[in-house]
Amino acid sequence: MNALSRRSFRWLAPAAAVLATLLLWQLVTAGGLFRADQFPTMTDTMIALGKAVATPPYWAAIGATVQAWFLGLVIASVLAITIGSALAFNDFAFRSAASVIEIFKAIPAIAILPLVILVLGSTLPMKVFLIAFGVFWPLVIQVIYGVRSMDPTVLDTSKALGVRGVRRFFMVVIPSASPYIATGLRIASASALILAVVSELVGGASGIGRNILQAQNGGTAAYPVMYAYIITAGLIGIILTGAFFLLERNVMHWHESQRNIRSNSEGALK
Amino acid sequence: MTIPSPESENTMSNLTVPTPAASSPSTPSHPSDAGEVLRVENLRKIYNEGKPHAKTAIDDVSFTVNKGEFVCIVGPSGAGKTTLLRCISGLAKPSSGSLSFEGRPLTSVPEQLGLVFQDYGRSLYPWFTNAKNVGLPLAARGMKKAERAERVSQVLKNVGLGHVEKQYPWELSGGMQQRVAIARALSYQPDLLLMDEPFASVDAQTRFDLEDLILTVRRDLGITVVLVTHDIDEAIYLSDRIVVLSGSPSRVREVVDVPLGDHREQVATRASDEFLGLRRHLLDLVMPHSA
Ligand SMILES: Nc1ncnc2c1ncn2[C@@H]1O[C@H](COP(=O)(O)OP(=O)(O)O)[C@@H](O)[C@H]1O
Ligand SMILES: [Mg+2]
Repeated sequence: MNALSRRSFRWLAPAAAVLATLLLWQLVTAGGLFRADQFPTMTDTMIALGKAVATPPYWAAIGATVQAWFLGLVIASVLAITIGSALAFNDFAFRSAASVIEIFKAIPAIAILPLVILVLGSTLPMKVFLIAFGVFWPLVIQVIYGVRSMDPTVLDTSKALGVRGVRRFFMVVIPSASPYIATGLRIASASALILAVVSELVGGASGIGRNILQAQNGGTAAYPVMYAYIITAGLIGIILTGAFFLLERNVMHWHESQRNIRSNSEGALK
Repeated sequence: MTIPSPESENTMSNLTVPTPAASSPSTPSHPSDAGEVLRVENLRKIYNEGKPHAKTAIDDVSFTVNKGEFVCIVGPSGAGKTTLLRCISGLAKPSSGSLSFEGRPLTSVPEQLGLVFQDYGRSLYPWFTNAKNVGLPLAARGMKKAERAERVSQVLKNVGLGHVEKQYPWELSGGMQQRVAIARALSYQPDLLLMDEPFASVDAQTRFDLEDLILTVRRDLGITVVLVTHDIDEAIYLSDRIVVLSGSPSRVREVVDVPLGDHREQVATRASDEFLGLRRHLLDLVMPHSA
């Protein structure tokens, strides 16, 4: 098989799998295994999705969800990277903070949702706070591990070269811990989206989640719309994951794991 | 709960107060010469001092290095050579004894010190191109971008590398990586270059090339070099003086002068009678049985 047909095969196989799933959906729903108020047919859902895509509120909902995702993630990352690095470099502070972090990490972010709604209402700040809170603890642990597992030679080198302070932080410490940070961010991105949708669904803030809830309240006729929004949430998840994948491949291209992936895939194309 | 061992006295005060006479006969007691770059006096390093698993890496080491000199430190593996270099460079704190660099007591890594680590693979930053690696200490010293770029390509040329600026260290061979590491240490024109077994993990041919490179660089730049190695032949070939260490924990066994002159060639120098004589003398020193 030549390289071109291999490449198209790589795209064709997953596309065919998606198509097969959609067909199966259509078969079980149209075939009468489910009633329309339980599970709408694939075609009805696709029509609802098609209609929704053409309306501004659909995009406003996506915008609201992604905005909260983004802000929560950025705030949590900045805090986790600065606080995590500071803790990692100070043994006493690390030991003192470790148990506190473990406790907060163990609290499911959703458990504090009622409290956050009470204080902040069904607003963007409520969503952002919930996301940042939920994502911060696992991320800060990841940063601490990343910085603490730094190769001593890397740090010694920066000392020997007279690289200090902010420059050392950004040019040495962060890149050295970046494989850990990247993994943390990838996981954080997925949980941030979940928390965004939950805060909309339960907390009533505008976004995809609230539209799902509204469609559900709209009765059986609106079920295809509800599924359209559920699919949309899934698609957002896929796009964000894909974006992270590409970002990581670019930013971390120097890292051994990415180098290995590259040389392995070169080998596989032989 | 830690039970202090008898040696774990106040490390800080011991740093500046050299332990009196009794120790090493080779310790010069006169104040520092004008041409003296480095002075190590009664250096002692104990890892995990005061803990049950305390380990004396360096027992008692004294020597001096003068401006423009090439001094090699030889000792068997595990003798404490890396530890000694880490102390000299200010990366590790001695347990006792004193260190001075250009007449001043050494507390942190001096600006005018270049360091080449044993493990170049880990000391070059893989996230930077070779140019950024070499330019990093220059940026830290506030050099402007344009001047930096010029200096980087100049110093890469000095170590025999052209056109590797845009490549990454991991795209180069081991010998080339070590050249980049040397270029980085030379980029800010240090007064003293410290090297820790820099050629231990390259093949023999590359090793000869790098040895000659470092002799050339040293002649061209008039730099002072202290190089650690476990290879006696390499030490003789490179040095003006050799500090021979005992096994662990290290003491200075002898300081040997190497009067082989300025011009050395791999084949001729290594075959000369002086070289072979020195080689026999050093082997006598390091072979435990023949003592
Ligand atoms: N960070 C450390 N902690 C405890 N012991 C160490 C440490 N570094 C080195 N040592 C010990 O000190 C001794 C000397 O090590 P080193 O200076 O690396 O020797 P060399 O470079 O001559 O091979 C060895 O026995 C080693 O195990
Ligand atoms: Mg060593």
